Amino acid sequence: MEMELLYFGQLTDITGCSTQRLQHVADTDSLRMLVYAQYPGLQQVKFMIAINNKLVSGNQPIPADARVAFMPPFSGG
Amino acid sequence: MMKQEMNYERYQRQLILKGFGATAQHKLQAARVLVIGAGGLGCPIMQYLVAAGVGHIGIADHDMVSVSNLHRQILFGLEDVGQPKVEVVKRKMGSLNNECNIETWQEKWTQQHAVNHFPAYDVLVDATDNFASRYLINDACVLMGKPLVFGAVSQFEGQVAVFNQLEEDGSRSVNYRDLFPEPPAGGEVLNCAEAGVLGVLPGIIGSMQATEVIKLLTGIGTPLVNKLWNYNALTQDVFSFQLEANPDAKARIPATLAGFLNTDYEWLCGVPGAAIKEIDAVAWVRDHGNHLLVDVREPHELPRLTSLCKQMGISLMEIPLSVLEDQLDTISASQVVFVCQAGRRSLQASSLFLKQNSAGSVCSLKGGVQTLVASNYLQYE
Repeated sequence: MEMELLYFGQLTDITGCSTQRLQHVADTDSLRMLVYAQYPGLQQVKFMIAINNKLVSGNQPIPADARVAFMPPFSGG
Repeated sequence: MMKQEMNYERYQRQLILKGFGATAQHKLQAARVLVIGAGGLGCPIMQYLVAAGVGHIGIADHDMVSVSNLHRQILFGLEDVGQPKVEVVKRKMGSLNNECNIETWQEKWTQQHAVNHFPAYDVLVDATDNFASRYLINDACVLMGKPLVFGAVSQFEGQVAVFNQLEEDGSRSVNYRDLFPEPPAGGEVLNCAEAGVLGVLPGIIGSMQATEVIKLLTGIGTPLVNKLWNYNALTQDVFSFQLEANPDAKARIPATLAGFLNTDYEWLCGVPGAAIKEIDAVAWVRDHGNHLLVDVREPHELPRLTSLCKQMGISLMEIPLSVLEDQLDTISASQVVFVCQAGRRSLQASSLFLKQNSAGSVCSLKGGVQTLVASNYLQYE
């Protein structure tokens, strides 16, 4: 079982990619640990997490085959 | 205000739209919209709202038109360079539609401005370019019960949302704090000067914002309430995220207007403290001590500083900001100077450095590599 990760904005400068497929993990806290280990730079920036296009806060379970988006704030205008 | 005679010829193409008609046009005519920021987003927002016949529009921006604005702020021309943006906007909007009353503020928008002027407007539009202003405007809209049309850009991507709109049950829809309860650290997110922006992108995002304003004022369609719309110009991919209230959000907004007036938004958004000395990049190249220069840009960012440092006879380290924290202990020098592309990431690097060297002081090159290029100390290869 896999899940799809989407990185937005300047997060892609850290990850070097905008999409990634990963083995499914149970919840958003575990997912954070996983991506922090792979991309330490992500620990220094703020982003929100959306599961299947829905914003979540706190630690939330991730359903099977979910698409998880990491969205940072944009400041430019 | 006295109801003006409607100019049917001018508005004919939208008057004949299904669900629009004279009713919607009268609503626009009676409406008051305040746009903060007359830059990449603010220009198209103003143009479309004025053209559509919004009766009264306020526009605030303390800046002057500069040449580097012109690739995206296409309302301005070469002859406007050096002039206050709001004056140019007012003049050009007058020739576009003289039925629209334009009120201008050529001042930096503060909490006091928000408290004084937000109550007189129906819809607020965030067309600013920095987090201190964005959080200030958001919090003011929540405290004063005003809908806010938000737009922001970054490189090739943009975000649009309608915040704090009155819902049918009398509550207010989500606001920016529900999305990002706390501002990012200073320099954490790069602005357009630092990260770049495709010129057409703010045109697209600003036009989306103008669309949302017109929908809110006339009641047509379904505005982007409780949604964040994200657009990527490179792929033309669009994502619409469903938003909901964040339990952390409410406590971060000042509870009262008095608390709001006392909030230091620039400090919250990481405008630098005293131990970090911002020094002019050109003056530093001309007259530098035995410094260690630390370039915190990513390896692909040009031009590199290797040959300049060789000429100057000073040491250079290249440590991208994304990995700096883990490598801070490799920096050992009595005087460290951080540099990046435009001088924002170097400020964040300086803050990180000071966390581990609390007794020391550190310098950040103001304007960064861009200033050195502009002054011909560096060339793009």
